[in-house]
Amino acid sequence: MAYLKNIVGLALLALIMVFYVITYWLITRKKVMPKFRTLPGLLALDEIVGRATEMGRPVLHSTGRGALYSSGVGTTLASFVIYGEVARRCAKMKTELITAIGTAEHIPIIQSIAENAYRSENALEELKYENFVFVGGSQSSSNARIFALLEQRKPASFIVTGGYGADLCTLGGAGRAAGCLSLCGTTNTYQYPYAVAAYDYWLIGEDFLATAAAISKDPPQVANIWAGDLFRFLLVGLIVIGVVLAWLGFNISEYLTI
Amino acid sequence: MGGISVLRKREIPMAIIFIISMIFVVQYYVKGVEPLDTLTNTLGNWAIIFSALAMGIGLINLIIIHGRKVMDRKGEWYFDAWLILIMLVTFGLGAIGGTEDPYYSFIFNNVYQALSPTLFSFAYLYMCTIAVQAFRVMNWDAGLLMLAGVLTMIANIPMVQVQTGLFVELKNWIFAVPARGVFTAFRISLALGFVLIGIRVILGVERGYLGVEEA
Amino acid sequence: MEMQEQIKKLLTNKTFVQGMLIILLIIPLARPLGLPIRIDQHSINFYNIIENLEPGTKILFNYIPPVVLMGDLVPQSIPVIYHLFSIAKERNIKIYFVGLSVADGILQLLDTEVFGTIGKPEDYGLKYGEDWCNLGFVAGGDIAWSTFAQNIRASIQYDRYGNPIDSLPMMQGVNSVADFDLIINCGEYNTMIVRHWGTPYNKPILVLCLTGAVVQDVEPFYRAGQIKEYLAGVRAAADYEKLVNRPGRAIASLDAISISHIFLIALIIIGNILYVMERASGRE
Repeated sequence: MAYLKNIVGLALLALIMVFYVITYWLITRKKVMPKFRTLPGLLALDEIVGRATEMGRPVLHSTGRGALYSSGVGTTLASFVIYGEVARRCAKMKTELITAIGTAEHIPIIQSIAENAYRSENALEELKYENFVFVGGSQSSSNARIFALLEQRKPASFIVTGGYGADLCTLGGAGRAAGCLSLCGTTNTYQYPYAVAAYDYWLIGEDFLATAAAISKDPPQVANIWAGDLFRFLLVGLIVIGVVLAWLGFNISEYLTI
Repeated sequence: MGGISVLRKREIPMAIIFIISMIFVVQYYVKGVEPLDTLTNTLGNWAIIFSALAMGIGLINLIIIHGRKVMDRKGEWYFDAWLILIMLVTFGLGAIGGTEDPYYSFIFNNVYQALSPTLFSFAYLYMCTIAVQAFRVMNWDAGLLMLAGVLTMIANIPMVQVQTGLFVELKNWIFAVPARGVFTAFRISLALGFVLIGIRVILGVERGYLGVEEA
Repeated sequence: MEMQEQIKKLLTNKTFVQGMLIILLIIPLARPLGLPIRIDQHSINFYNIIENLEPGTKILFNYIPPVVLMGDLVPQSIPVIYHLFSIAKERNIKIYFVGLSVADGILQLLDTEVFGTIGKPEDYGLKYGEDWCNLGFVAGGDIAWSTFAQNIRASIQYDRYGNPIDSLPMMQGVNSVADFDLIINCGEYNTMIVRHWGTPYNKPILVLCLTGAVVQDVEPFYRAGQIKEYLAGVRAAADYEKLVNRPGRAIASLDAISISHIFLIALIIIGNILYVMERASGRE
């Protein structure tokens, strides 16, 4: 006999979809475009690529070791989006881009993104395939390789996005020691303190995941982020209600797993 | 068709993703339907096989990318050749002899297992360097950060813990109240972000993983 | 002023800070100081949970420490597994080892590091297939955890040594995570384990995790009751070694932790004193 499980979760998911439909309608039919909060990390991309152009040195972008088949897929996708934007700006400004790839399966995807970015700026002949460097699938090997790249190629700017562990801090320290202007993007909650301390600019948590919408301003993506924001207000309301009910002695949590 | 293979069209992968995602979403909420459970178990096994295949694809990608550098004799090509050699030797030993093979075990225990934590220890050294520079009382926020950090470090010193439990209590309070509140909020936001990105992928709005744009 | 500048230069000199740290870490490791330790309440609770396990308890032990983190996770797992093996025979406790991870956990460390240190389960009178088994490693992340949770045989047909799992007596009647009584996770991905194995099946989870920010991540789940108890880092490993009366590498490294922490705190305090003095003289 079929039955529904996690009804509360299903209802909340349905609500997100309803908000999505409403926000998409508002953007496409009513031409209402919400304003994005300024993301300093995104604004800094111009400065980061520009610095490398002025100094005649390359940009080093490490795309992380996340997988596309686990719950870290969001981080990996966001990393690809930022990489595409960096590649496009490097192509436009004719700045050399070195790409450090942490997961071997991503190599063709990243090369494809770079080709697409360079093609969009009519600079496909500037793309150097020897600048795609596989840095090994583990923290230690990627650290070692990236240290070597920082030492040998002397990039002016260092961008670190995607799935990282404790090596995020190490890379930040190494980038700072090498005199690079650095940006990091991560959703790894353990590494937020190091992201803020060791890098000049950062995109953490939801800021990082929302970059695709913030960069492209594509209506379906913007609507998605806007729907999430509306849902967040609902969540805050539920939390406040839960706290009040808990004060009154009524434990709502057992009903949330129905 | 303009020379673009039908297999490379974006629509086919997006359709596959949508159908399979909807099957899993429905199965998560609707229980007691045996054919659905069997289907999701089968698809789950296929996904596990694909993820293992992905490692194999990784191996091939590495051989291509480094083999190209070796053939062109570009830069430090001998390191690329060394990488390919070691990779194939280790893979071969593991594939033929299994993890019990003495030579495979030698490489794993004495090279990989020794080097990995050694290089990871750089993280601690860099964290310390950054902590010394970051913990400056420049304003109230930085002062609070420094206070929390120093209190937590003092509480973690075994010598101090033996003398007094005060710092341990303070550390536990920092973990249980302000830090826990902040991290819970981070986690909720992040979970919502992942749900949103999942919706974008299922609906085909997010296409970064496909890589290639149509010409 | 000159001395201030010199000290300031030293504090911002990476070579000095890291060099001194390395020296201060090596000295107590080479010549242990034998400083006393105070056992944390989390370690005591963890110990009591294991010590008070009911007879016939079935434990699912997900052993997936990545090699880079083995310095933190393996010292924790050694005394815990020693404790489990010590009580397993008399209380008929069944231990099912498995390695489900994204791609980076190393189940092989169980054989090389853990059994290599405390001895094989057979030394404790445990029989393979009846008292303990090793179901092997499966990569795949969330899909693997989810599939395994619903139907073990859907993702694993053979154990680590090539035996069909149906040939193991202890696998009779064990079909999903619901059939286990306790889950222990040693590795990363603790919150994923809670999501896939703990909350849907209402199973108690014990976690061996890293210290620092990982504990911050585990704390909300611990306070909500989704994780029953946790051990964090080498510090907790040393506590547990003392509780099971089996000193090992964790206790040996505590002196190094003490000395390095004191050095760091001293540097931070000196740095801040200099900073305040600079600001005061700048105002003047």
